[in-house]
Amino acid sequence: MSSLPRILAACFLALLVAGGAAAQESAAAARREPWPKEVVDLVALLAVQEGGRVKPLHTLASFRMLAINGKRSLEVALAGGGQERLGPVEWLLDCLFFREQAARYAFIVVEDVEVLDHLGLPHAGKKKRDRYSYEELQPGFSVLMDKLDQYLRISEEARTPVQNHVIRLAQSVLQTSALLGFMEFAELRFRLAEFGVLRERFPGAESVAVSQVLGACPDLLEQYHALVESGAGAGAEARQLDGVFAFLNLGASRWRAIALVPPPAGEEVWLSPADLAARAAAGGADMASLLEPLARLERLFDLRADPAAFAKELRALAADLRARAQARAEYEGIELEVFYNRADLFFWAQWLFVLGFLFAALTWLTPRSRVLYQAARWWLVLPVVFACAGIALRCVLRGRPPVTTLYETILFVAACSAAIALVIEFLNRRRVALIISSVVGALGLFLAGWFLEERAQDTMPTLLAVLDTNFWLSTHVTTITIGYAAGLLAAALAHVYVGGKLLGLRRADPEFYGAIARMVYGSVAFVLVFSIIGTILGGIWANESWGRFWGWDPKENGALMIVLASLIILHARLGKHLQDFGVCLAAIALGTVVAFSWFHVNLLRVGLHTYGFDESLHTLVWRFYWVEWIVLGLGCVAWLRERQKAAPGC
Amino acid sequence: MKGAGGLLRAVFLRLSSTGLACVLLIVLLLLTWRGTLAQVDFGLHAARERYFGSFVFWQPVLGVSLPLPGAQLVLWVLAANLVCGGVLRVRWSRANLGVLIAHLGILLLLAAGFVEYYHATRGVLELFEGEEAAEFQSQERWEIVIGERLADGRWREHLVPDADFVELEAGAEAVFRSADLPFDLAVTRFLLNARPRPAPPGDPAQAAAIDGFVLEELAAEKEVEMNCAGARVEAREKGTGAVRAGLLWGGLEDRPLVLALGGGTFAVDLRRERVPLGWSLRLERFTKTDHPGIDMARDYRSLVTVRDGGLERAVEISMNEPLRHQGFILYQSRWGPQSGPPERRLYSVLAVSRNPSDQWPLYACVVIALGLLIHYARKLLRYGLAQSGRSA
Repeated sequence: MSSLPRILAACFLALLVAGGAAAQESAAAARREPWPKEVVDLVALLAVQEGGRVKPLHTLASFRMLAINGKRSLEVALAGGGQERLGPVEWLLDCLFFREQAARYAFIVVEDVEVLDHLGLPHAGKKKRDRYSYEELQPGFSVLMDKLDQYLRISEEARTPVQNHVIRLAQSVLQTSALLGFMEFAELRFRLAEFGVLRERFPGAESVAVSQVLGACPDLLEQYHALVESGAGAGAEARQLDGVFAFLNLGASRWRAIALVPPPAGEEVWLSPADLAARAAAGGADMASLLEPLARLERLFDLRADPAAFAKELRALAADLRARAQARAEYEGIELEVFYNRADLFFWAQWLFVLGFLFAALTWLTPRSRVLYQAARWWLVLPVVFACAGIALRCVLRGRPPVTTLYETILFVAACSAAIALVIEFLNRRRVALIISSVVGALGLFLAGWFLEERAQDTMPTLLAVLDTNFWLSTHVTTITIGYAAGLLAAALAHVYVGGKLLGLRRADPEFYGAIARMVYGSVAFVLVFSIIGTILGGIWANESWGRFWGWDPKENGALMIVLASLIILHARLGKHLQDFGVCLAAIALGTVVAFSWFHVNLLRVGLHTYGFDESLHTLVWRFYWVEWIVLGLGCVAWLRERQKAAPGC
Repeated sequence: MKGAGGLLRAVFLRLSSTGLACVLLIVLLLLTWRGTLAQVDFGLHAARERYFGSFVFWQPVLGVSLPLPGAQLVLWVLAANLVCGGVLRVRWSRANLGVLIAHLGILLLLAAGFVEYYHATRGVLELFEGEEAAEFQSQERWEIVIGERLADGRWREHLVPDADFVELEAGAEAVFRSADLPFDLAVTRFLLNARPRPAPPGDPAQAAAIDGFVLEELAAEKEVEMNCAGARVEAREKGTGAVRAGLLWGGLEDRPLVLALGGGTFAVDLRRERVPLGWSLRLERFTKTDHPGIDMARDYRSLVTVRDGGLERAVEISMNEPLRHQGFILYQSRWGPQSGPPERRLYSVLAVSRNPSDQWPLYACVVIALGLLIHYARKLLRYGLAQSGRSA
């Protein structure tokens, strides 16, 4: 894997020189004006196929940028002076059309400078985690690829953090290289002075573009076969033709980053310029129509220094590609997905929750203000609506129930727990569930944002065959996730109880604590209902898919543990083995069981629900455990002291 | 009599207490947690057998091996606790209607689990297009088959079941006797996971070698179907007492041990247990479709013909759409070979199970959901009314 890109790049460059295909002058290689909004919108709305699904180029650019840059914006210096903030589409446009300029942008994240020491690259003046340009890293590419090859042979669990950083950097560099090289075909010309054999096909021309040569491929192939059959296979013409085909095939390894041309009817896999080149070089039929977008891209590249002409050509290209996608009924949802990406409803919901928290806190400071209380209650409805709208949009886009991936569980848990807390608040008006609603909502959405940035992968991936069932996704998965939400809500409410006791707040108000304990009890009952039904439904699904109801798989066990923990709390309360304080402490323990079931079992690398190991998620889960165990420990001390005080004779 | 009655009552009260329920649930929770983590080191099968399939297991604690209750024991006692406390002792009133229904649902679920554990049969069936099978193969259990060549050229099979030899202790032997055979077959060693290896002169294992080979014991695989069992057998001819020893191995390159005894020809082999279906299944077509542009299956399905007596019917088996016939359930599990050129010939792997309690969890789920909804809807209503009264 390591040497392949280098070898191909070297061969490609060698052919470029030896074959006479030459790059045009790069005088216009610096963009001086910001990209016009129209251009950005047109590019954002182009449909492409990636990861088994058709999506907007905006989505592809966003996740590519997130994976390489660690965030979805970039501050760069304009060629004409001043600073510019690039979004994903603008960044992608620069990578494609102004690659020399983009190669100087510092957007490749290096997680640890130690990685650069491995590569023998300087890093004076840089922070431990910093961003570097492609140009800065280029001298270390050869070593980087060797290291990648070496480290990929080490098992995932045995790798050091630095080795993981090296792998991630290598992947970023390869992705960047693929984007920067994507439009090379548009820059290249076959000079007829060197490729005399093409002169007959393109009389009067000095040089011809790649798309023109690809269009002539059937004839050129025929000519080549005729030469071979006539015994002139070793002659100059045949050698030149050989060079043309070899060049196109090698190019096919470079121009692969974006599959944006819908295939002919009857095929499913969209085509990148590389695929078009390979198909044409293999003598593919009906290439004329397929090559039109390629020719437009070449013209677009030529016009990059002329914004008005560029926009005009882009409009034509976008209309052409859109019509092709619409003819296949594969354009539906593209505009909605771009709207979803840009609306960033979860981001807004997250900050509305934070403001809601401030509101709720104010209601505690001014307990007599009914107006403020009402305002806070209704304010918190807003982020819940935003989050639910985001989830609903995702459902529409995917044609699926709300939860199909781990990321979606986080969104759903955040929205559900905040909504349930609000319902409790509307029922009992004690202001406790109000503040908890804002906290769980905000924390959940911050977690979702963190998870998104850590993974930096499309959050609407194609599903495994076993998950391709809306019935089970909407019943089992949704139910069990509501159980998670209720479990975490119970734990959050219990923190208020335990925190209050630890800090000695409202000592003379047992009714206050009794009310919280009732909320915790209600939430635990909610957990039981949804977890037990969800778990059994999961078993029934497993019976339909894998032939057994229960297999003691880690994920099944995790769900069972939530059921058992909630049963323990409810039975202990029923048998008076636990009073309010004990129930709240047990609810905090229930929160850790939920975390174990929700995330930890996926990280065990065993069973049917393994999503791969994630070091940062693993660390986060353990931090959560530790915090909760400390709270539990302190809570137990306070509980014992309270029991001692309450004991007769004290 | 009064004393005995009092004792019974005390036992009943203990057995039906919420305290016992809590202890059992806590133990089950801890077992589940431990059994989950143990899968990382020992694999699913071993962890399942140790923690969930046992009544008692031995756990080293600070260098001392302690007997601890396994999930089997806990679940049986929990079932008794549920019957005594959750059904018999609980007050049968309108207020407890939901709880009663839910408890009955859980009992049904536990019954489903017990029936499945003790009576279910599982295995796989691998078929290329055009192939037909009337039996499937267990992934966990082994059997020794003695093939007897009959005068008309056909083969008759004598089976030594897994239970007869699989737990053979060192130095012990299991002898299979049949009046139809001119010899007794003694299994003198059985290894769940092994491989044959040459034992040249000078090798410490040479004394036990047969034809220069010994069976080398390997650690059990985490995935039970990856184990390849081996056995050492002795055929003892009736009358003459002549002994012919041989090694059997369940690997792919295995050759049966061929015996010419008592004037007949016999082939002895160790293989995964085969379970007859009582009907046959022919794979007509297997299709696998990938998501466009990536190497990830979107859908895979098998079109099969079921032949049962004079009846024939075509059925399509796909993910989440199993075939149910004569008590057997056949599921689309996977396909093979997993790697190779795209145009390679694929075979379909169907998981087969026979579970008398197949649909019980579904009924239990409905009953439990109903019970919990009745119980908590009533409680929520009362809570809501109380809160509105408070605010009024």
